[in-house]
Amino acid sequence: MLNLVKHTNNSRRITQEGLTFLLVSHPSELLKENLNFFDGFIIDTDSEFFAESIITAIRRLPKMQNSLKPIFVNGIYPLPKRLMIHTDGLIELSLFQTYLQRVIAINKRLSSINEIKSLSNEIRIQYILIAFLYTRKKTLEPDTSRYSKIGYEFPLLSLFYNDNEVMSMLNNLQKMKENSLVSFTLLDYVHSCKSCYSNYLNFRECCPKCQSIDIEAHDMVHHFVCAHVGPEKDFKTDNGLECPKCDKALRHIGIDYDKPSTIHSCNSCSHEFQNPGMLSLCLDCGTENELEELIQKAIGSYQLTNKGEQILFKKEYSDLQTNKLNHNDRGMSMHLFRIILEQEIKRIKISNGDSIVAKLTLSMNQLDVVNEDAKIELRQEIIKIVKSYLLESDTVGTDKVDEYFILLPETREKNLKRLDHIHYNLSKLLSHNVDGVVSPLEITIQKLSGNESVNELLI
Amino acid sequence: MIALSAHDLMPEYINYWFVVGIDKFTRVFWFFLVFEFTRYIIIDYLVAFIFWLTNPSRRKKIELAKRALFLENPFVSVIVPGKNEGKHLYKLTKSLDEQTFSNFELIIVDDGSDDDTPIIGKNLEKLGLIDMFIRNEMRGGKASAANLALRYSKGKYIVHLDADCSFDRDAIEKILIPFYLDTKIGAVGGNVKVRNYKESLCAKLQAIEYLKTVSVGRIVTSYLGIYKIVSGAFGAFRKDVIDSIGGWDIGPGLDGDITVKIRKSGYKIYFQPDAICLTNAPSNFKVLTKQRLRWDKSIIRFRLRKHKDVYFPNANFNWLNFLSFFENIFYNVVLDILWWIYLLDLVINYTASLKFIIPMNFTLYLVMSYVQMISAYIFSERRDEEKRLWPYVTLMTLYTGTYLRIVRTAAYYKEFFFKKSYEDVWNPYKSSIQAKRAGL
Repeated sequence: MLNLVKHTNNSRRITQEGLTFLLVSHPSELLKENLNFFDGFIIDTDSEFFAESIITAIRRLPKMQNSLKPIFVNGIYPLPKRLMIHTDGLIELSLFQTYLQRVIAINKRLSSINEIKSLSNEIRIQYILIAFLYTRKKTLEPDTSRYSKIGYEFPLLSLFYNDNEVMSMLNNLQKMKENSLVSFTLLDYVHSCKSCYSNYLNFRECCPKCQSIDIEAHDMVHHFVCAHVGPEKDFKTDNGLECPKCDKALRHIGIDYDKPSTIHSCNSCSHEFQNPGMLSLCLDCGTENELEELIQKAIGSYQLTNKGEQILFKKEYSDLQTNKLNHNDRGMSMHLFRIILEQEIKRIKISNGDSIVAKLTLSMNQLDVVNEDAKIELRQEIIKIVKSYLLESDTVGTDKVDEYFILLPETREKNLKRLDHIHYNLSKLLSHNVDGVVSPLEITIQKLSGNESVNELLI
Repeated sequence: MIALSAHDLMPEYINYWFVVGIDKFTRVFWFFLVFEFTRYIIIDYLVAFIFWLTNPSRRKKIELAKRALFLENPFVSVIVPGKNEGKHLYKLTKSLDEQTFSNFELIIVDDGSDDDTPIIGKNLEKLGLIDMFIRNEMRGGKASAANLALRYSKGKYIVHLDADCSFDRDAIEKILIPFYLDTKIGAVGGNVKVRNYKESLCAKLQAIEYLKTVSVGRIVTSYLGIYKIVSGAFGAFRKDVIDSIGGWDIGPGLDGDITVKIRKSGYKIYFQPDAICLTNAPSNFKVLTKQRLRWDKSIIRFRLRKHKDVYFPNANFNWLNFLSFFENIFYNVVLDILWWIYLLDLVINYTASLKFIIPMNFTLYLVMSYVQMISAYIFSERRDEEKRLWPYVTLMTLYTGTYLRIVRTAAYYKEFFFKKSYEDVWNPYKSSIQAKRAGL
């Protein structure tokens, strides 16, 4: 028997066979309740906005035992698919008991897993996602959505990332895949704007010379008998087609003439060409992308692996944290570098040793338009190259893609060949890859005497 | 001790001619003496001598023309029509990159290639190594491809190249200079030499042939004002002139045809021996035979049929055009027929003396070949490299005197009686059938 109990504090509960659900029609109702008490939630509003807020609020609850509880949607107020994917489906209140077994199963699995401890946000999301997939015994299937910047929403996961963080979401999934926590099945590729990651792009053919989109295509006509070839407009007269070379009428395609190709002409710069360029305008941020500049990402479904499942029952999260190790490639943070440098200055003061601090600066305007992910990748590559010429005892610190500090302990000024190698090879590499930059790299050095201030050295 | 006289040292067949006297010698070797010796030795050396005499003043004029060229620095369109030439394109762009004259655009037309040419061409265009790459999905023939390039070229002069050629660093500069020597010059032919002569005997013989007939032969005909063919492998044209005659007509033999059309419209044609282009010649006799059959058929088709008006007195009659045609037809077609008559004459009238005639004939042609080679040596700028060809000159009598004559005869016969050039797969059928109907 279904018991719908209306409480005095305006909350509504449904109790059935010992399970209690909270009927929620406004997010504020969640604040008034002790959510530990409920076995699930039923969204009971015709407002999409409220429904979205309720779902987000529940799934982002700090306590995973609550955030992953079943959320159903009252069948009389169905929600759009983009919201439904984050829930456990529609529910007919009159048939409530038929859903109970599912609720019991989800909650049983949920109660068996460890509550998450303090972890970074990225790893916390990984853990919650794994728990979600485990409790629902389902695959993470992306769903097309024109509200998403990349055109796809992921159940649960999309609730943790706002519009500007879609690439972080995909990167996080990628890390889970690399750590074998999930397996991946490719469904699609999305191409996103280099600047804002949106894939709401408008593709247009353009003039390869001036990039104007004001171009026209003309059929080429080949007159067999005199071998004259030109665009159709050259042949057009009031009476049809007439060859400008031999004045004969072109009557029959295939016998008198054919159209072997097409050619484009630009109405802006008069350039004529056969292969137009392609530009994609990001309708969100207005950036013009060349096709090669678009960011391609694979979209697919993710299935929890055994390894992923085991994470939920371990006390440690080492598998989730393996990526942390790779962060060494990004170089030492400047905060830490500053501490080490301070220590080195003190040491030099006592020991009168020879240590040097080098500053490596890149001057490339192109960096201004590159997105953060690309900057991180470039920084990692540069650090990798720099480190390959340094000694084990040398330290590299950086917080920016265009500025690196290198501490070279026990190194005299005449022994700086490794800096010369870095300068030569990195300059060559960068000027080959970046048009219009002759020498994009500058290295300045400062010998430590023990009396410097760290702030001066790190300007 | 027996004293040996000069006669004892000579082979018997030579002594025979000393004995029978000059009259019989002249009667038997009339073909050689009247036509070959006069044309290829006397006239060539006469022109070479005049060339040598006039060299200083010509050099001065050329120097002035060169200054005028660089002062104006005209925009030039280099056009390269072809099919399945993708593999040569990168090398070609590199060869052109080295040119001393650089104010040009490069237009490549891909005439319905069925290999990777479109991919290569588009990539090179994207990389900026080609200014314009035009791809025709349906093959239209070389003339239509050249006309397509012409339609989109913006230069004052058009330089027409074959994709498999490479060029001396100053080749484009050199081929443009003659336009500044005389405003009536409508087209300039470059000097095409064989690059792959080391590959085979066939290529070596062609290399010698090119040196003699293409290089020296064209210097002479150009000097005489009867130069008849601007090579498609390397030729330059005034854009206004070539536009006014409607560009190229259907081939095979379109190089010769367009030269005639330019001559007929009142312009001079100039051969520039200093503008050097190297090309790959067919390396086996099967391919060579096909090529020569095509070339030789075009003489009948264009010089005897399409442009027959040159022989008749009319409003456009021009003595130099007439002589140019006459020389071409006479030394190719007429002498080819005469040669067979000459052979009959020998067989019928001098059967008993053939054992003296044949070796003597070969000796005469051998000596002539070397004498001609000396003239090629005089005019050449690659003397040291070409020294390797000298031993093979001995085979030239068999090559030009026999092999090429037989091929030529077969081509003339096929074209004259059966118009076989219209069936040549070199041109697509759709164009050839229309050209045949129109009598072009």
